[in-house]
Amino acid sequence: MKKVFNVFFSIIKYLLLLAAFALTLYIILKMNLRLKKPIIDSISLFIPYGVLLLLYILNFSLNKKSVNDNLFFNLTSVLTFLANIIVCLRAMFDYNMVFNGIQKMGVDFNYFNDYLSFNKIMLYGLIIADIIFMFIPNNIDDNKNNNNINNNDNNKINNNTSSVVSSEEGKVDIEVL
Amino acid sequence: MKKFLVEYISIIGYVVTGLVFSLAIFVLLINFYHYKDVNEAYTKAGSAVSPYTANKSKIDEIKSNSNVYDPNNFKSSPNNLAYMNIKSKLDQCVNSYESSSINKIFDKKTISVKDDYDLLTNYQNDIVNNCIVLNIYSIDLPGTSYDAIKPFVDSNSKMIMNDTEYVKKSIQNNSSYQFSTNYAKTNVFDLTRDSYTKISSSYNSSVDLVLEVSRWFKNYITGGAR
Repeated sequence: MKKVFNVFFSIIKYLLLLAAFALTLYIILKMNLRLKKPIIDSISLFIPYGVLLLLYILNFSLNKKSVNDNLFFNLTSVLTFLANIIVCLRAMFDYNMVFNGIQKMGVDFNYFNDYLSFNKIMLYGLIIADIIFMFIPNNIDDNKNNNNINNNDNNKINNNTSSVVSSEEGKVDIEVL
Repeated sequence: MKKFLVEYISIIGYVVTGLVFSLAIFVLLINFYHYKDVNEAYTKAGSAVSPYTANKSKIDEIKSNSNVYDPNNFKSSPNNLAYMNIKSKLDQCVNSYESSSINKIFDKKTISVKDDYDLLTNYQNDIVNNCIVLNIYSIDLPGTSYDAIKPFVDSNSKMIMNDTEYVKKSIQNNSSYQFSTNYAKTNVFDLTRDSYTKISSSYNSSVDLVLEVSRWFKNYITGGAR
């Protein structure tokens, strides 16, 4: 079950990342158009999306199990991008936020601007977590399994020795030459 | 040693991921509650009457007071033009009250915050600007009994002009996040309901002001107050 969820979240996070990036780009372009600012001024908002996508592709190509099989990390990524998408959609389509109608640009910039700082923290947090998890070697689980196997074997050998000892002790063989 | 470092690193990684997770949940929840807040609608009581309907008799009185003036009776008067001017201003006000698009919003049973904003914008354009500011506030007939009521008219006009300013600011800022509870809504401030009530109250005040001016005009024309 855990594996099914993990695969699901691993695939979904790529799609949501692209959707979140596209919606944010659309809103920022509109915002800059209204303020007559060049898009270069807002390029720092899009750097985390690019870095995250690069890291995800790197993890996938290097088969980093510590990231790819990390259900908690994948779930957090999905929730982050989902929050981003929901905020973008509300900024565009929730007309009860009257600033949408006042500015007449089809986007409530006031509301979206409040969210940008949260967005930066979450994206950079994901980048940091991803890089940290990349330091965990793939064979850490194999090592753990090997340690477990060795411990089990040692227990079995001890039992055999004791049984052997006990069975040997149970038997008395006298050889008469 | 390596195993210890790797486990330590994974703890830091999970802590950072946990913080991002909690922030994402926070953003999702705050958006959920904010969405519920801004979509809150105010349902009027069944017996509630539209402010236009409630003030219809006063508006009709303003119309009849204005119609008391007959230009043919004042042809020789030097102030005939001034009287025609005042009659025209009162008629313009009556027209604003009768044809304003706010009457459709007043007739609604359920008012949303968007309706409040449209009501406010149209009320400021049609009633405050077109009637109070351009017509009533600009009436001047020096050397007559109007001098006695002019300070009253001026101060009330200024009050009506600024009456709904805080309502406009609070509605315009409704896209900011806030934590709203049922307690706050019941006991402190409900944006949708209180904005509607304030605009209705300001509308009633504006009708009363125009009525006072029309009553003075009628008394003046019929020779009651000189």
